[in-house]
Amino acid sequence: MSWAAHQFEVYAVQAHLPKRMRGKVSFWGIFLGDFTPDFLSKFWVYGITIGDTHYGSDVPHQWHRGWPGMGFTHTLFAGVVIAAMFWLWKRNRAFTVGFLLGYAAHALTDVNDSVGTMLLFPITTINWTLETWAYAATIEGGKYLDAAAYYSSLGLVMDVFWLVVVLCSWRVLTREYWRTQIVPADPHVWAWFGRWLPERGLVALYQATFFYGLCRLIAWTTWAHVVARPVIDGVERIGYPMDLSWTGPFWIGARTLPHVDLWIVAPVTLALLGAVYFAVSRLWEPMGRAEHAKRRRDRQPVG
Amino acid sequence: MWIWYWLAAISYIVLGIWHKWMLNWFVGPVWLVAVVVLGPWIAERVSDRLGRRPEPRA
Repeated sequence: MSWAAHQFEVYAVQAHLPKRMRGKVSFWGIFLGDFTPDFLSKFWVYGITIGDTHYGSDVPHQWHRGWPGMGFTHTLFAGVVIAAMFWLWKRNRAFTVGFLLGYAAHALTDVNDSVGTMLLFPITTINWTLETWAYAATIEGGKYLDAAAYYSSLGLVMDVFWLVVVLCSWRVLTREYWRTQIVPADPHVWAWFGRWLPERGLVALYQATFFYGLCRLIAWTTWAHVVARPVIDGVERIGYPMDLSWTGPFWIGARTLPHVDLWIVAPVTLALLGAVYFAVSRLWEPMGRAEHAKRRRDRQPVG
Repeated sequence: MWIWYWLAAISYIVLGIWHKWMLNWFVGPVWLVAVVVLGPWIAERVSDRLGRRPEPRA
């Protein structure tokens, strides 16, 4: 799984929208699309312990990414279905397209850990993984060990990569960008928040996901390598050992599920990303016409 | 405004390292918004109060 990468990619998607969509795709759509896969599945991955009883999944990685399990939440199919349902309900192009792009970003970037995602669900339930770092969510280790493993592996590089992508498009984080590109795509939502917050609070709210991603990256990395005192192979260490080798870190057993050959994952993932952008580009104008038609109908007096 | 962003980031990171329950998608964003909104508001009121001179006696 990815950690802060999911926060940064919201802004990366926003900054790399096709030209004709700029200022017209909902930021909240992208945010919720990126957020929904883990919102639907992750609570039971770590579970909760009350007294001596642990409530949660028996096999966290199977629950999170597999079938049977909640792995379908990390598929393009689920993103398309939820986006289509929202479109049929509201006919809101800005939110629908944003949601689909955010959802696709999440599902596609999660192919990097050793479990991966079911990219072609429901055609096949086999997982697609690049095995870049170890999927490390376990019942015994919980969130702490998961974080330590992630921030001791190429997962850290993944987070930093997405951070750099956003920083290269730093204007996406500015007040000016928020005023000219973000608010026009979501005027009602921002007006609603504006009932309680001054403008500086609204801008902070827009930047808050980036802020959270950056802070959690620094906090978890500092904890894992400076504060924690793990015992590995019977030896107490100052911080978890860093291991930037493929499918690292070495000190944890990478969880995995039946998956396709490693070498076809990257081209297929990129092809699917291209397919999503192509589909969205082709549907953009027809969706706009359908949205306007619905608005005209809604404005007409009944009877 | 930068000072409030720095203050929010440093305080959240330091507290988050020692109290990891704070490192979640709800507390993080709320922390930034709260510091950026309430920080200047409180600072303004404090500086108003400190800057207010006593009325000269007649």
